[in-house]
Amino acid sequence: MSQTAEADLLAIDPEEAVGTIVDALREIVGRELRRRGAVVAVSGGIDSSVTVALCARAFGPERTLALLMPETDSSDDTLDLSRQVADSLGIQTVVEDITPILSAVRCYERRDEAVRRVVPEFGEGWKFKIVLPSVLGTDTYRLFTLVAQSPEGETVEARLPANEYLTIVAATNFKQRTRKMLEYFHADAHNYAVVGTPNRLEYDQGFFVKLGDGAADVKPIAHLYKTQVYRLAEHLEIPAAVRERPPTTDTYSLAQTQDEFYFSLPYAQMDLCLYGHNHGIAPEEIARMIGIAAEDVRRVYEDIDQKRRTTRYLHLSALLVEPVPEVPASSS
Amino acid sequence: MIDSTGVLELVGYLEETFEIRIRDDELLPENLDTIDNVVGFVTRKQQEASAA
Repeated sequence: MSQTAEADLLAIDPEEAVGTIVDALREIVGRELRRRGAVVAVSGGIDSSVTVALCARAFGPERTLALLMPETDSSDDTLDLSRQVADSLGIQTVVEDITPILSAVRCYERRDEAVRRVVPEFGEGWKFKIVLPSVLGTDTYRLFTLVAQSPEGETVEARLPANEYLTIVAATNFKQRTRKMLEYFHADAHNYAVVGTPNRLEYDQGFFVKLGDGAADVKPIAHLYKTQVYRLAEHLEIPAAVRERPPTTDTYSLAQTQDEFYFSLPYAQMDLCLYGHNHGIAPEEIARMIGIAAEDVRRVYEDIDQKRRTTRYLHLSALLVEPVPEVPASSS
Repeated sequence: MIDSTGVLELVGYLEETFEIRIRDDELLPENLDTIDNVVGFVTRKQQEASAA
């Protein structure tokens, strides 16, 4: 990829961007929401690390709380990386292992029952993930595939029927919704706001769970491309181990990158496609920058529009049959 | 225009109802994006199956 072209399009002055966000956070949380600090769910990923660092600047380390909420499928380094971030900022952490809650609502059981309907041998010690084929190189519709791995390392792949796909996703969504429930517990108990961590790609493309990680009182980095979030991370001196870790969904037991589940391309290329599409830049031009065929950039542009349409409902608040004018309407 | 869950549901419905097996390389707009195309596609698949 041409570094110059990328730098030109997504260039950002990190100091200025941080200043703008910190001012906005103080205004929104302090004046509009009338809360006196922030709760941030920290996962050890780049977005939550940058968000919690911004909150520590806005409200001070003593009024920023990092919630660490691993569960049995979380990768082993999640907790350690999250602690590194919190320690570097001097903020308080609370660890809530959400595995017992998830077991109680039968998150794993419901999910595994659906997995077993597709891969009957799936059982103790097996891992799995859901994969969506790339949009590149083909105009075929894409169906989700379940990839399961036995304890011996043998891999089984099967197309996911609609019912099983929906059930697996619905059960897995318990994870994000349970975390949000705990974020609001701690926010209510401290009179803090819940600060959400989506970047622009996730926010625009609906890569979140409604009333799960999609719920928050304020989303301070939702306008930033992921490439720009990394720039801020350098400026905010987020520990290198977090900045160098590849993005992961950290949701399924088998490691899953975000681009094999949701986005068409790795984030740096996806950012440039989204930017190009938003700014009316011809596919040919973006294609030259990121080194893929113009036809593929066109497919990514179409996929961006398609995802906006299909995830629009995730952004909507409850819709009313008739307006209640005394209550101002707003969406998430 | 149909979303990925919609395609998933349509493919499952067609496979079950018409006892056909749709391959990944057949998941094309020209087979599935209009009612007429779906009818033509399923008819061809059934003819293939009975000829085999």
